[in-house]
Amino acid sequence: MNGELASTLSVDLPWLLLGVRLGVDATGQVFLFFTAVLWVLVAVYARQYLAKDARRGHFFAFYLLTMSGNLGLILAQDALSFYLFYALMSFSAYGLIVYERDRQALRAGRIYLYLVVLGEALLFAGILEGTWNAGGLGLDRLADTEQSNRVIGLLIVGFGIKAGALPLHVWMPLAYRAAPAPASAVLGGAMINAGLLGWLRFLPLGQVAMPEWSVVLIAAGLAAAVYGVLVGVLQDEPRTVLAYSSISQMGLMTTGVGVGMAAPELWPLCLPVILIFAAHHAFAKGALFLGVSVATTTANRATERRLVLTGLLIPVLALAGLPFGSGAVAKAGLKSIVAALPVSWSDWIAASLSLVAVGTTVLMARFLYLVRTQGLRRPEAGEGPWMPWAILLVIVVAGIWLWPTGLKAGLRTLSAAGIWHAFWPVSVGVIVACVAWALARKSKIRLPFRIPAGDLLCVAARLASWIGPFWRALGNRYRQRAVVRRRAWRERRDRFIAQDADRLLERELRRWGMGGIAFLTVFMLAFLLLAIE
Amino acid sequence: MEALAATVSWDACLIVLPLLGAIACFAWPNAAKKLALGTALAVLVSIASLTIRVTAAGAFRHAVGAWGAPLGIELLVDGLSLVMLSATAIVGLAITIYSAGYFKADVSSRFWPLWLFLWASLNALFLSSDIFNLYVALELTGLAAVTLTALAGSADALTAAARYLLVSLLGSLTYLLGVALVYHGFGSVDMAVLAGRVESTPVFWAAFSLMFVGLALKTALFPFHFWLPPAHASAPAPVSAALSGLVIKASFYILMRLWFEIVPADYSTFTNFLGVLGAAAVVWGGLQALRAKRLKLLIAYSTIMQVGYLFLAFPLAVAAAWRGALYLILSHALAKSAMFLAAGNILYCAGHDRIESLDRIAQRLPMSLAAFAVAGVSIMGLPPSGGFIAKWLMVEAALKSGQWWWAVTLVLGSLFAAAYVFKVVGYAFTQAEAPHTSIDVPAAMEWAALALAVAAVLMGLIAPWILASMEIGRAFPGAAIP
Amino acid sequence: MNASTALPLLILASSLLPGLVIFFLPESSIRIRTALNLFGAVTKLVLVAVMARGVLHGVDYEARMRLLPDLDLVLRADALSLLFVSLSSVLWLLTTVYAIGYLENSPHRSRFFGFFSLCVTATVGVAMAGNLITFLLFYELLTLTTYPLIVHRGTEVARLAGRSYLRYTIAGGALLLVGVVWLSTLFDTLEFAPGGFMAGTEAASRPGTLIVIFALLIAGLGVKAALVPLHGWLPKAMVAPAPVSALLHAVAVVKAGAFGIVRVVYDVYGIEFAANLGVTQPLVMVAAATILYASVRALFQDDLKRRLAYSTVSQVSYITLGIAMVGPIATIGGIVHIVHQGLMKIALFFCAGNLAETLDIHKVSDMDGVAHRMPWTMGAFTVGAFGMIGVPPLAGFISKWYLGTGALAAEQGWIVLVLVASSVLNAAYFLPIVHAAWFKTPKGKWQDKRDRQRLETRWMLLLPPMATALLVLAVGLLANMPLSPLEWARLITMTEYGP
Repeated sequence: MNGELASTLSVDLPWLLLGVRLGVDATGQVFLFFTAVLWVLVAVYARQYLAKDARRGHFFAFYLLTMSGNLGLILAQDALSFYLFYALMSFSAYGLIVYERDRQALRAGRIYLYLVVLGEALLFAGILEGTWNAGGLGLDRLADTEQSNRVIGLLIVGFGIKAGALPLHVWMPLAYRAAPAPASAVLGGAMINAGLLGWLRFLPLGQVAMPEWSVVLIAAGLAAAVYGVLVGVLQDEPRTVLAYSSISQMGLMTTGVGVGMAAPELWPLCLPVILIFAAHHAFAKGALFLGVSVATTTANRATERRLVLTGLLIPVLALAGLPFGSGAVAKAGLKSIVAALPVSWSDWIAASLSLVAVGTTVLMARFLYLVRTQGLRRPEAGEGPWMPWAILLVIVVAGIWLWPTGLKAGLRTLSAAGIWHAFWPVSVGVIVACVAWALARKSKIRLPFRIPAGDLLCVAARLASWIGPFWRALGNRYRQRAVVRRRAWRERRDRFIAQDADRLLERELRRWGMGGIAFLTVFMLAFLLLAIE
Repeated sequence: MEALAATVSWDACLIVLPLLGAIACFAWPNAAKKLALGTALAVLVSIASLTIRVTAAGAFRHAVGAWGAPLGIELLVDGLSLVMLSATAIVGLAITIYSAGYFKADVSSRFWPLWLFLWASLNALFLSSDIFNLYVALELTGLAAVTLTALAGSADALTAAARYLLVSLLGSLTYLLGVALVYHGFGSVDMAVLAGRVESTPVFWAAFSLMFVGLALKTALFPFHFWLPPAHASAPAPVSAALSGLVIKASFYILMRLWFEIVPADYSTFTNFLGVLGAAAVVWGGLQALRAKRLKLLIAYSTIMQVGYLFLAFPLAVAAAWRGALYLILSHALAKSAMFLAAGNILYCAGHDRIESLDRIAQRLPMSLAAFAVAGVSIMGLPPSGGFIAKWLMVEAALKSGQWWWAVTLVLGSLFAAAYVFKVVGYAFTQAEAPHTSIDVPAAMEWAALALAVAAVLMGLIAPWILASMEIGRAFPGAAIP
Repeated sequence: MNASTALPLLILASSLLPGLVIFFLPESSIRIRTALNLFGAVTKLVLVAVMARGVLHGVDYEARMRLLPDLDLVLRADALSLLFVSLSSVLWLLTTVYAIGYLENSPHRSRFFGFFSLCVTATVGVAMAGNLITFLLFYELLTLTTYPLIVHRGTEVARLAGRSYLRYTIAGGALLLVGVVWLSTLFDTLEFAPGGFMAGTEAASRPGTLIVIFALLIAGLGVKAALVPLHGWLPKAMVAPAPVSALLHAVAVVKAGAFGIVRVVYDVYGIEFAANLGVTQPLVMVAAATILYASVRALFQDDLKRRLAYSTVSQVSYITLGIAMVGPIATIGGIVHIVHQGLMKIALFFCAGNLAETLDIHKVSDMDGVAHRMPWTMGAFTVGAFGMIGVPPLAGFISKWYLGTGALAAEQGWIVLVLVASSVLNAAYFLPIVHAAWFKTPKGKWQDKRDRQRLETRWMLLLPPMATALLVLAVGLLANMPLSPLEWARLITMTEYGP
């Protein structure tokens, strides 16, 4: 991870599948770095965390499969191998989500699977038509081709499922909570970015201007950002809060992609920002998830707990956007490209971004509160080593400054105005959080409603529970009627064969009279017919 | 070999040998089986030689005793008669082998003479060249057949035989009346002569109508089929085989001969009428076969259905249709005999032939059921079998001449056939529920049935040769195919 | 008789002769019967390999026999027949091994293996048929030889299933016969020719007649190829033993029907002539309707084999779909799916048979947690299931990709929708099975069965599903390699569409 964004290096495997090309380009480098680091660090942690678990072999099998998929899709330079590794990753992640095998995990897995299948189907259609329009399977070809609205829509929705776009985000809160702690770290840190990478690879960004889609994406992204914050604050499980935070952050990245779609010349500005944001989010979220796990295993030891909570402050503040942190750099970058947008309402976007920053801070405060007050979740959980988490923290703090691109972007934010822009949302957020906490403690006000994790899912489930029995009853009635009808027909047929034909046969048996008549009749007919000719 | 074939009058042998054999069996009942087998083999040799001669030198007429027509008897040997004779010979051999094991001593002494006598009269029928001779042979065949039918001795058999007798006499007498009218109207009974003289006059119409009705009665065309199921079902198995396979065809053969040689013009309304009767026979026979509760009754109704097929060749009126009909006669002779022999095995083993109880017996007689199934392949007209070739030729004729409705009838018939054949065959694969007391069936009987069935299937693979030899000496009539 | 005439006949004989001999073997002569079976299967494979090599080097294999004065029976080996023959031979060998293991200690094995061999003979005959009459002959022979296999168990259910099977197939055969006879009255020759033998002849100026004949032929073939609404026999025929279901539904009967449709559309009518006649689009519609209808029906089946049966109905119509779309890419997709679907489906049926035979599991609802008891079997099942759904890099994905691209090339984008919907439906009825097997806690009665062996079941039952699952992976992963089914399909398509 040194030097400039290097040129592509790739290897062709024409005999594999329908022609596979693997390689690393500039974007790939960044993604590869944070993905690989995250998977490795979490693996080290998980090894000891699951040391006493009898079924850890299963966990690691799925872990490795998901990791292969994740790394593979980053290395893919043609559409089909990307799709292959994407599918591998998505389906293997299921095994991670349902590892605990309790009801919650199975339900989370089921919802996840439904959405994965839907995503695969949409992506199949989108990639099919996309490569057809591009005239080839290479991703470089795709990047140059103008696509129809249908294709772009399919790709956006298909990858959006993984990236937590509304309203198909419902699997995230359930999955992150149900999976074992290390799994959530990689799912929320690394896998979530696969969707983003999908957009970056398949959409003709930087080549074609798609102003309508730009508006859609920006709006969707902002909606997700706000929604994530609002719903997340009302959750009462730390990992669910993190899930909604991911939704929110991915919304911001979506906005970034949307900005880049507005005009091709904006793209070279947008790409570094998105990459920085992705890297920042990956490490910060990974550190947060891992921190939750570390925290729950130190519940009994007060000093260690305090240490952990302090350590957690680092990614929390980074995510919130404290100046000098990676989050601030990322958010500043985002604001700058939004400002560069040639639309009249870019100021509104900027304002919303600030609002979201406030909200993120509140969300993080809620998160910290929950971590502090929650007891152990898994009493028999192993104790993971501190080292991986510590390394992550270090990367969160220092990584942005050691990366040339990040350094460049970061230096730009070190002006007084920049620091103020970063600082005031955080401080407002902290104030709001403190006020809320104080109010809640004093007056014991409880919220009149709760939003369970997987918000929209409950609406869907309610609908299904109404339609389901009705549908089944319909089916039963139809089936019964068909059975009755068939039975009646069969009885009629048997009766004909047994009885009615018998009557005809009886007539036959009294044949002498009939036979004679038939004989004479046929004779006369024969004569007449011969005579006619 | 050709010289030998040319010198001996094999055609006369074909009539004389079985007659002699019949007399010998009557005189020496203890040696009857061997005598009969010897006769059968001798007949086979005669047929083979005759075939060699005809394929080398063409069709011929042979005046017996050097007394030519119109006074003497002339024997006509052409492709058509050759085919019928060969069918008789092969089926006859199989029936002879089968009967050697089937009959008990007391019945056996009556069976052999009658059977050989029937064979002789059939051969005479197929070799006749004038219509009066045909009457004689027909009458003899009928009488022999009736007596054989009554051989079983049961009340059913006797009633059926009595009915058969009345029908047979009525039929042949009507035919005789027609012959008389023809002689009165055109002055000859020889077919070659009549071919030139017959014209479409009221005399001819009356005569032919009479002959047709009489023959239709004997061929069990719908609506004259009523006598056949009881007769064929209550006769002993080898007799049923002969009746369904050969005797029925004899009267149809006469009709064919008349149609080819004598009938002057194309009577299209009349032939369509025949087609309608044939179609009715197909449908009725099929339906009744499906309803049958006894195996032999099922097979008998199947015969009625196949006879209906034969009459469809009339409206089709092209040479290809006649070839198909003749091929059907051939393969049906083989297949139907095989079916009856297989049914006979079942009867022999279990004492009854109720279809519903077949599952208990089927496990013991795999070869007989295999014979039935393989013969069924030909009856259904599935490839590769003789029945398929016949069906192909007739359907092709129907489609080529634009009369697709007869093609539909043929196909419908084969669907019926499939239904009733598989109704029986299905029982071969059911679990036997209870062991059933049974008698062991001699191997010769099972092999005879199977051999005939396989022959019916093999007929499907040697079609070009047989088709070529069918029309030696007399091409089949019919419009040129557009 | 030289080698090029003898080889097709030898290939037929390699299963016909052992079959006829096996009929007469007593039940107890297990060794001889097994030896004959395997000998026949291996010989056939070797002969097919020799023939494949010959065809690749341009040798013409043809065997002729006069059936009627103006009609010949012709056996010929071209690229398409070679594809089907190789598939049949390979799968026959695997199924023979499987059947030997499956039917251990069952009654009537001689009868079973006799008809089994005859069935393969008929299939190979269908594959190598060089004209419509030969095809018809072996097609009907296939009906006759598969009936005893379906009713083998002898139960009442089996008998009814056999009756239903016959009703459909004999009626279909009758329609096919009428179509073929009609064609023979219009054309001098019925021999298959790439690009069809109809274009340019004077009979081509009677489109109405040709359309009716096409409908008759497709109806006759569609019965075996399980086009809706002629598919009714297939789910009922599941009562047969697992090796029969495997062979019938992967190789013999169903593929024969689909193969016939390929022949009719490409080598009798010719794809362009057919498209001009306007018959291809209705065929596409019927295929699409079948795909969706059968997938929906599969959702509601609890019996495992019936669910697989409806899945077969759906998947085989992919072949018809690919064939009927006018365009080389779609054709490649359809033809390669002949092989791919065969491999995937046979793997699934082998696994279903293993479950039924070892643990007496017949219903999906009993399959909870069974993967812990039979991991290798369920592993093969999972591979097959994902292949059916169309997940890369498995075989099913390659076929779907080509079909989808072909649809776009033929400007029938709505077919992509059908493919996608079908994938989702496939996932809906396969993933629950896979999920239940691997991730649910076992609760069926089969838990009481103690496993005494080292392996989860007899090796003869384990080897075939693993081998076919491996093949499913291999033909997908290595699809671009020189001798893959995909390459064969490309070769065949190039021949069909001409230079």
